[in-house]
Amino acid sequence: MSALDAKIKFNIEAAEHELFRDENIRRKRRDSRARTLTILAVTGVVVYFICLFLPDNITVNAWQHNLAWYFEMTQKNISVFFNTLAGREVSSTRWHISQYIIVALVGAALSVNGAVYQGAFRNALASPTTLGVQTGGVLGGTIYVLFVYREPEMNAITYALEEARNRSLFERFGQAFFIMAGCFLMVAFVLFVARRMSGGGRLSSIGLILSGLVFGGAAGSALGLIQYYLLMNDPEGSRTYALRYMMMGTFDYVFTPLHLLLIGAPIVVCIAIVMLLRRKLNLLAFGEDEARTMGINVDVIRRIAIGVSTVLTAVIISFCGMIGFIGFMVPHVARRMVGPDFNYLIPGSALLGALIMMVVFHVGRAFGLASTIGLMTSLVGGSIFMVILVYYRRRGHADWA
Amino acid sequence: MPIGLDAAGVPRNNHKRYMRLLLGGVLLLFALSLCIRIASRGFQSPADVFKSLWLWADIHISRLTHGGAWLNRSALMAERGVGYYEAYGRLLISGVTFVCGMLLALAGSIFQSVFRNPMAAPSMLGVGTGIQAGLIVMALTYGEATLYMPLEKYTYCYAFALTMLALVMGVAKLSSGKRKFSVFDLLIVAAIVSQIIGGVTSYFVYGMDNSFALVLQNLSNVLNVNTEPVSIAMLAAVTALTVIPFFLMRFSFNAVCFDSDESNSMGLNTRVVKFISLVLGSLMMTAGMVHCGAVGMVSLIVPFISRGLFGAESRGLFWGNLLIGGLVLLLCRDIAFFVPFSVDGMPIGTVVDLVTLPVFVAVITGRRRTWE
Repeated sequence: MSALDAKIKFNIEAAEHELFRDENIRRKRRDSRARTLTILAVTGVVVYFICLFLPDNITVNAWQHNLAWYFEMTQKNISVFFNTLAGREVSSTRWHISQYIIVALVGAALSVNGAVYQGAFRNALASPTTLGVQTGGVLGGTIYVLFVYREPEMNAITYALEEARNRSLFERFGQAFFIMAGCFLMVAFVLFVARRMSGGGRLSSIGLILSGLVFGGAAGSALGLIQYYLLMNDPEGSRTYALRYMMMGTFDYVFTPLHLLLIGAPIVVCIAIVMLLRRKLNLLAFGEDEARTMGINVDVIRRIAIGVSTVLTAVIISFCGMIGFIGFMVPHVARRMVGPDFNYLIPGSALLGALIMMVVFHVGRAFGLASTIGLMTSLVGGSIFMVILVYYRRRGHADWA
Repeated sequence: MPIGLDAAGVPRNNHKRYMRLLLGGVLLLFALSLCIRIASRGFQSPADVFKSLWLWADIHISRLTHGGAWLNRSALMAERGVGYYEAYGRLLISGVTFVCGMLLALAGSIFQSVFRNPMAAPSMLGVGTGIQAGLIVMALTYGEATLYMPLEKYTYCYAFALTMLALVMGVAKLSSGKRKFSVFDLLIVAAIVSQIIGGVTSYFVYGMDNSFALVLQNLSNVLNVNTEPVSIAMLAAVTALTVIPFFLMRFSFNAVCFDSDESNSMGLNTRVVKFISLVLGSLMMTAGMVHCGAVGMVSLIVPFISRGLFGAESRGLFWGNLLIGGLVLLLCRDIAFFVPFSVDGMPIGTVVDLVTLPVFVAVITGRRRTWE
């Protein structure tokens, strides 16, 4: 081959490279996102098993800080795990398996929820509680405690395991169902009011947020009054305690396969629906008018998004209580990792959310703080988010939100 | 006084009329709330109230001049009976409530003009969380005695609220690095810091006994306004510290409503004005919430009303906000007293939320859409 041929070949290659540069970049980004998702998924699975195998729920005095002890505990846990799966041994491990699956699903659902809200409202501060879902839950729970609640004869966990088999579904999960109904009612009311206020026409996003804020706030303060009244007049009554601990975020009472079915099925379905909507949500990010000119029915999409998110939030807060900050923080972090494309953002936030939730839950269990997991997520999640914010901002990345 | 002047300096009849009506309404409501009894739910006759207050003034003037009324005070007071104490107590309660309403409304208007966002509430910078944290620490430290410790309450609440404000500002400064200090940074940092502190405090709230929870509820709901001299002095000090600078800077707030570039070109140091106004607004908010309970809605709603009546001009808005804020909060206090929820009526925060709801609906259904 002469020097001229080599030169011509080189030029052709350079031209091809130039021609397909954009395509190459796009392909490279797609690959890197897919890789990130795979890494997250694998990490999630690994963390799931590590959480199951590492010692937990051990009193502080029984901790031994040497490697051999950890190996021993892990080995014991592994044998128990496989024996349980094979049905040879009945131990609490079988509850732990469903509990950890629930924890992962809840983390995923909360994060997806936050991503959808932030996309649908185009507001970085929107979180699942923006439309008054939480107040609705308090409303339902308050009605339940005031009119249906009967004093439990035994510990809730014992009850869930032994006594519950003879009861109907409603008797077992009455409070959860009431809270769920309250959530739906409140969101429907806020949507209705916002619609009436906008003159029956389009739902503007700031109108929705404002009415959620104000009506949620008013209803919430009226309900707080009931709690205060009970506290004043009957400080030691069981209803007072029930009201106070009604919406506390905890996974203590969800650990049977039935719970897994009741919580997991809606979550999986809703995440699937959101995945189907991902391209439309991408277009919505351009702004309402632009999305409309691209042939998107903005109102319908936003209503579906709100409906799905409400179902997710309602399921979670009715069974597990309020779990703060995951829904606000994880989408922001996931956006840094996989970019703002909903095609990758939704699976990314789901996996990252599941991961963080499991880690927080396991750390909480190990230190005996699992009963107040909703508060732990606020604390841990908030601190992580703050560090990331300061770190990235100082380096000049200013593209949050 | 520049009330009711438009930009060109031409008097506008409407504004003057509104202001007169407002003044009349305030005086009427103040007189009405002086007539409310304290010991039971009912009214005294205005003549009795007038006589009692006259006696009160007489006694205190003759105290300076060593006159007869001061020397003979026990007999004179006994002659007027319980009505004397009720009228005097009502005067203090109504005064404190009115001043709190004023402060809250002014704080709301400052924040809305600085953030140029109709949703900006002064509690957004974490002041509310700070106060809550202070109350929880107090309730856990002193138990039931907390209810009778006004000075400690103010110390804790102001200290925690100001610490919270400093924390938010510091972290926002840290996160913005060498770039300009942006409002969005401040809001998001405030949301996160409040969430973290709120998480810690609610951990203690879940852990505490019902008796402590009751103390905490009593503390934060402020069922009966504390009118001890220390409270009055504290409120007067904060009012003087905040309202006078605000009054002197009211021209600057007009300029801050523009872009920061434009206001810079008008010869204004925007950063200094913004910083001062944030600190002033948070102090006012703290004072209002410490002395009057969770009444943050006043600061969100009143600036809307006053902007609807008096236009967007800061100087007219100042007086409008003062009067409307005081009026709304005083009205809510009176309504709250007459609801037989407990001996002292019901928490004023709930009444404020419910009373301002229709106003809010009217504001956002209104054609003017000032909020968008």
